[in-house]
Amino acid sequence: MKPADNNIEKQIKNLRGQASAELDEKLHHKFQQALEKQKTIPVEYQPIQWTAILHSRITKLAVAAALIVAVCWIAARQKEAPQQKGINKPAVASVVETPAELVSVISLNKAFRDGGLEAVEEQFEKAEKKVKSGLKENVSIDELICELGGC
Amino acid sequence: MLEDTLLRVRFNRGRKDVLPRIYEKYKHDLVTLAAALLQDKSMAEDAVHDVFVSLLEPQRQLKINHTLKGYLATAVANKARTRSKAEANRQIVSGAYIEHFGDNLSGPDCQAVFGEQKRHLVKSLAELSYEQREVILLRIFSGLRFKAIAEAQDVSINTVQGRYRYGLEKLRSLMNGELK
Repeated sequence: MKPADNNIEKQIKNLRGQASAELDEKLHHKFQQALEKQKTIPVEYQPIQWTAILHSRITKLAVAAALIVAVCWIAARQKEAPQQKGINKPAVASVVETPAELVSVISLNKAFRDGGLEAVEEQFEKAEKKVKSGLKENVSIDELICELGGC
Repeated sequence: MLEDTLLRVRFNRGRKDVLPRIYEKYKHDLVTLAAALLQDKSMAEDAVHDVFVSLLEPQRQLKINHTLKGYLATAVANKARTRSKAEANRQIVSGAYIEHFGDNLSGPDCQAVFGEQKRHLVKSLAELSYEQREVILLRIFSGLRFKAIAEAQDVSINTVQGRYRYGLEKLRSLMNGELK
């Protein structure tokens, strides 16, 4: 680089102008206005913040986790439901009276659907009790057929 | 430098309250740059004004990735270029411009020595093409790299370096001619 270039560079670097007071006043007024506007109407910025929140990775992960938990919970409840129904709900025995009806295919099927094998077993026990309670020492075959609903 | 980084980070986070401090820090440099480019004080101040007003717009999510000074210098140069194109006929140095640089000189001795030299420099700068003047001022006065200037002017680095070299040569010959 030539010495003359150095001199020119130095001169250019030393150029110093001044911003006028008018420009200062104009811009400071604008700054103040903008800052006041920013303070008074923060509602304007709410949609932007919501968008930012919705688009954030953490929110997406949280929503996905919540969905997975909800689906698992619903599935678990559906599995538990038939067993709980079997415990709480009385079997067909309370509705039907005779031992023949108790051991019929329809009532056994209904008992199984409502309470599973336990309900079926329970129904058999009830039928057995009913048969035993009404059992006489000397009973004829006709009476027995009649008792089982055959007459 | 540390303050610049802090101001830049805060501005990028949407804090407009840092703008008055940025303006106070760089206003003289930016007005000088714009005045040297446009050769008109009122147009230069308008360009600086426009740059800061655009930075204030709430809907604009600007991000300053480079140095604060470089960013502002480039923004002012872009505004000045737009205004220069609009006022393409104004190539003669106006009286207001010379006064503008004379304002800052203090003392009669100082004005006698540097005032005259600056007048020569300003007149010589005005003789250069706008592109050459812009490259020289952005490189020497604002300290921008050739790569950054090339990006701002949307030309290759070689073009920028050529403009710088030829501009400086022309400036030297003009100033020597003036001194002779």
